[in-house]
Amino acid sequence: MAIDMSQTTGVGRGGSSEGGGLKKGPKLNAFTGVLVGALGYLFGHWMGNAIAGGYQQVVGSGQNDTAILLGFIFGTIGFFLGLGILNYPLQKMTGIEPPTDEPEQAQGMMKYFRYTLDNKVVGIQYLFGMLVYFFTAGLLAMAIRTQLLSPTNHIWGPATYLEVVGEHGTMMMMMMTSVVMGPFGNFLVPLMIGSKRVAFPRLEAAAFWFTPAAYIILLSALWQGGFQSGWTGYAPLSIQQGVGQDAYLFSFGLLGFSMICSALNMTATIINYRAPGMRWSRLPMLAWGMITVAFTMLLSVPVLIVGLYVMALDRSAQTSMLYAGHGGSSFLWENLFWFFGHPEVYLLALPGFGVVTEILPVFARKPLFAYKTSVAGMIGVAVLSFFVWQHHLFQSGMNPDMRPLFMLTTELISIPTGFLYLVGMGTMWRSRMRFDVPMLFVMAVFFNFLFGGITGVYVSDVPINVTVHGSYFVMAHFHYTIMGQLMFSVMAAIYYYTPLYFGIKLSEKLGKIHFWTMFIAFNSTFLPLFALGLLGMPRRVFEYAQRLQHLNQWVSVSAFILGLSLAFFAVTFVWQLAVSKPKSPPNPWESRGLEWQVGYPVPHGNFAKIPVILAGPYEYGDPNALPVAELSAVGAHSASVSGGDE
Amino acid sequence: MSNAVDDQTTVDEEQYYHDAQLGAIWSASRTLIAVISTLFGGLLFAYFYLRSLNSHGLWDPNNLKASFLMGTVITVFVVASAVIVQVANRRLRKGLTFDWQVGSGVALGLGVLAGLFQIWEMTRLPFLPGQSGYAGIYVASGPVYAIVVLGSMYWLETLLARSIRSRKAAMQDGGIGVSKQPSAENFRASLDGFTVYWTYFSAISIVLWYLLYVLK
Amino acid sequence: MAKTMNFPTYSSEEGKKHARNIVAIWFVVAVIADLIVWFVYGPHMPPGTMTDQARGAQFDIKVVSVMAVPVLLFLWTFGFYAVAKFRGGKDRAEGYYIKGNVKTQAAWYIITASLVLFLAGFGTYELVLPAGAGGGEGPSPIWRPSTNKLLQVQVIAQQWRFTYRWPQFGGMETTSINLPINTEIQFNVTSLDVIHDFWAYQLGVKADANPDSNNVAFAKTLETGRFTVRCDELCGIWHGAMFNYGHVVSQSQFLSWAQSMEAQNASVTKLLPKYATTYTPSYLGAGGGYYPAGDPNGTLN
Repeated sequence: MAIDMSQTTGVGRGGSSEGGGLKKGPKLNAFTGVLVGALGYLFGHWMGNAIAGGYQQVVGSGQNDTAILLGFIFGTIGFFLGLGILNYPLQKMTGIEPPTDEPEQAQGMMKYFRYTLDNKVVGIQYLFGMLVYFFTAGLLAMAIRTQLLSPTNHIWGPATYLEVVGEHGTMMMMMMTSVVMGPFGNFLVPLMIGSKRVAFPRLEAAAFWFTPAAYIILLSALWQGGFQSGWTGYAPLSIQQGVGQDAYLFSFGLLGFSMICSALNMTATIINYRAPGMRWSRLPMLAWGMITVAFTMLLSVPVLIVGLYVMALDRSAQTSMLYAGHGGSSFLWENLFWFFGHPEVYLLALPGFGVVTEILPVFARKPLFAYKTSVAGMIGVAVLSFFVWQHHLFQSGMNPDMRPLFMLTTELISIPTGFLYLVGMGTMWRSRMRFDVPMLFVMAVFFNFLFGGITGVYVSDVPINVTVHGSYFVMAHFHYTIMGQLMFSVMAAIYYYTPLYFGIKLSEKLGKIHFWTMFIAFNSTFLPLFALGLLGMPRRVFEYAQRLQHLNQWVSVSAFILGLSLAFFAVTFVWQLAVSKPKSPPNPWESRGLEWQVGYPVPHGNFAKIPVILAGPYEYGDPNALPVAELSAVGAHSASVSGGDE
Repeated sequence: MSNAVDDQTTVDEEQYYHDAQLGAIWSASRTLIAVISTLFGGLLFAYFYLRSLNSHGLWDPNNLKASFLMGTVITVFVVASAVIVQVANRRLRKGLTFDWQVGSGVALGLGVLAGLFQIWEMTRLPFLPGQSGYAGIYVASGPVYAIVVLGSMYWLETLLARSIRSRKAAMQDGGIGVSKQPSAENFRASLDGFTVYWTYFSAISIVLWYLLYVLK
Repeated sequence: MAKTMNFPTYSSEEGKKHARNIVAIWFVVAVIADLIVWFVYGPHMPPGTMTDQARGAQFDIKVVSVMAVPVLLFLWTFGFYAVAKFRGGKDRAEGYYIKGNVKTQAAWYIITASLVLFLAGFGTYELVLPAGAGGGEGPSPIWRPSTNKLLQVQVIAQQWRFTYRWPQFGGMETTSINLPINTEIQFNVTSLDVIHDFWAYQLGVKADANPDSNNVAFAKTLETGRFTVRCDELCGIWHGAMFNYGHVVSQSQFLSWAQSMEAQNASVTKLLPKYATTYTPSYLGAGGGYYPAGDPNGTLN
């Protein structure tokens, strides 16, 4: 039959035979994407000048926000067209239903520069993408700390300094939302739930390709005068800015779309594609983290997109929704932004907890303590995160009588967060911990997040907030929760999963050097910032009081060491992946996790057959525990707990 | 530790993933409803925020609204489109594929017209974008509305195209509305998702119509 | 790799011993730490003791700290104890098969929940009692000082400086700020352009300066001395340089300063727009007539 609309019959089926003319031609990749994207940008910019040349920011300035924004829009569309992402939606308009799978392609490195439907390739694309974004933003942090070596001498001018601060903050806050879901969620969740595929592989792959577009556009702000409004982009300051602000809002919006795409895929996959026997009560914690994060994204990100869109209109179409006094209100932006912004903080934190609770039992050799409590903790944090956004605005004068309520909801979040500590402590209780590098990072997460969590109580208390709001105290607080918790969990996950991703076990020795330098330098960088905040240093200042110089110098030097430690990681990581390639046994950590049972390299299609799940993933210490799943068809109960039977 | 699936040694993979995909379409279309709710929720928040704040009496000092006639036409088209899709879906389930195709074609036409009218209306507003709070909100919600309507119509168009293309194949066992073929079931899952979503959206449209065109 | 696994036998007696050790270590350390926090660090906690509000905030920080430090120390004690005692050896033994413990879990829920609820209640009390704790309370504050004898100080923020207007002194505008001691002060904070934030560190006062909106904060001065005023909300390139200093002085010194400033500024004050809670810029300057005639200065919002 000519048109078989049924789902693919598995691996090896050819690509669609009809439509998709572009697919037949030269292989599309990131480079053709950039090429078409550049053409799209030029077209959009021309069009913007044609339709809105009269709406320049300042007459004769040549700064036309409409042209810039249309350039970004068409540039992104061109990029997607050049990558071949739009082939599928266009094909669909003719009624063809292309397969959800594609044949395995042995294309070497090139496959990582293509739009691909393989969840493992997407995961690895994300992994390297995220590391690039993280290191770019990290370098900007080094620039900030260089400026702050002296209270009065300037490396950067005040404008450049704020550009750097804004770029650092925005890059970190928007990109790192996907730092776990991208590399680890996409790669591991199908393996963990025993699925051969994801629900919407095209959405998943497209979600990744939003990120390089957002990255390039955000960086482009630097040579368009930057944006001095920081990552929070408070209006009307953000309306005042030059065209760099358009890059901010557009790239942030793009990443919003990326989050929605990957979250739609993640929820549908976890809900529907679990293997037989993978009950909710057996779902690995990382998958729980992913699904709670995905729902949080789906409900909060559209509000951010509305906010950014409103800002874009104020800047380009000359509406006045965010101008105080022109029928608009600057409070509107603060509300829209923080309604997203606070859940965002938790969608940075939750994946970290997913990773930590996933890895901890493996190295503690004990079941996860109070599994249901830890799930409840994640769900509780996700739900409460929607009811706390006004705590960023305690001193704003907006709804002052609501402050006790928001103080209460904010402090209530400590309860589900505390659950995760209970789970951590219970799992460590009388365990047989093995301190391999991933475990060290896991322990560091608990250590670091303790500071972040406890200072969170200070920040949420309104009378204390009067002193610490907007100061380095808050800055230290959220760096502890994001860098100290999320990035340390990401490091744990990288060390833990490289054997599965690349068949390489990173050196314990180098890993320990990296861990200890990073851990000590991190704490040495951010602990003094609490003191700086309490001593009265506001955020985002390029000059500060003379009496604070010693502390700042200490922080800067520590930050440089932290930077060097991360650079050390980057070099040793790439070296071991590309040059020395230390081979790993199939399941070096003796994990029960289903994802470890397939062995390296993970086959195309993940499993030969749909596995039947027999037991939860954390049944360590039980001599009678069944293997986590039946991978081969019949009578394979003898499959060893520690996997690696392949 | 034992459980029901212990004995179930073989899984019909094709059936399994077919069912999973039907479920995924169900979940995704429902989560899309959540996404669309928060999207318009953000806009409505802006509407109510600026309206209740009414700073300097500039929410809508001269009561300059976008054309009531146009707004009503757009909304009626969208609501009619949703109703027709509902009815056509029922007919399809009775095996009347052609009825569905005509119905969805009309619904598609109405939806596309609504989107185009919305865009057209943006070009002839009786106020400037920055003239009042209302003006800003209208200028913001108009394009979002048009894009969402046209995007939804894209979905409907793919369904229509699919039903036309696979008509013959599905005819063997009663048409795509009743056929037991996996492809037909998949199609119906997507159609059901769309119908629910589009009905929900038409409700949003009515709310928007009341707030943007009717409420003084 | 079906290697034989090592499953140690479980002894609940040993567990009790560990628990006793942890609690004992924690208790001693926590008591010492709390004493240090309260008596050694406490008196030096920000924002100091210059106003009623600052004292309230300092007390609040002390209370939260003596509650938070034991929690921190408990987790630390547990963590370090666990690292020292619960290590896997060369035998690569498995841990015990413990999936939960109802009593421990229940105790944890109850303790954390009651700590949190207490802190929320205490925070609310400390917010309401000293007239909003020095925080910005919007245009119509609901938590006010008991007296109506308030010194009105309007803080006008703009890119990138603060000026102050004194409605009780003929509506004069000054670039410096002096405050009398033992006086209830009402700060009316507003902005001419973007969002700023008026942070008088030692006074324990912080309020966002929003364009077109009044934000009121209260403080009662109790000690003389110098205080710092900083902008605490990113407001553009010179945000880092937007600060100045003020002084709390005796009432007579304040009066003579204010009266001399009023006389000195009289000719300029005449040219200023009428005193209002907000000023909206226009081509006529702040307070211009851009808006409907009934509400030229946006005072009615």
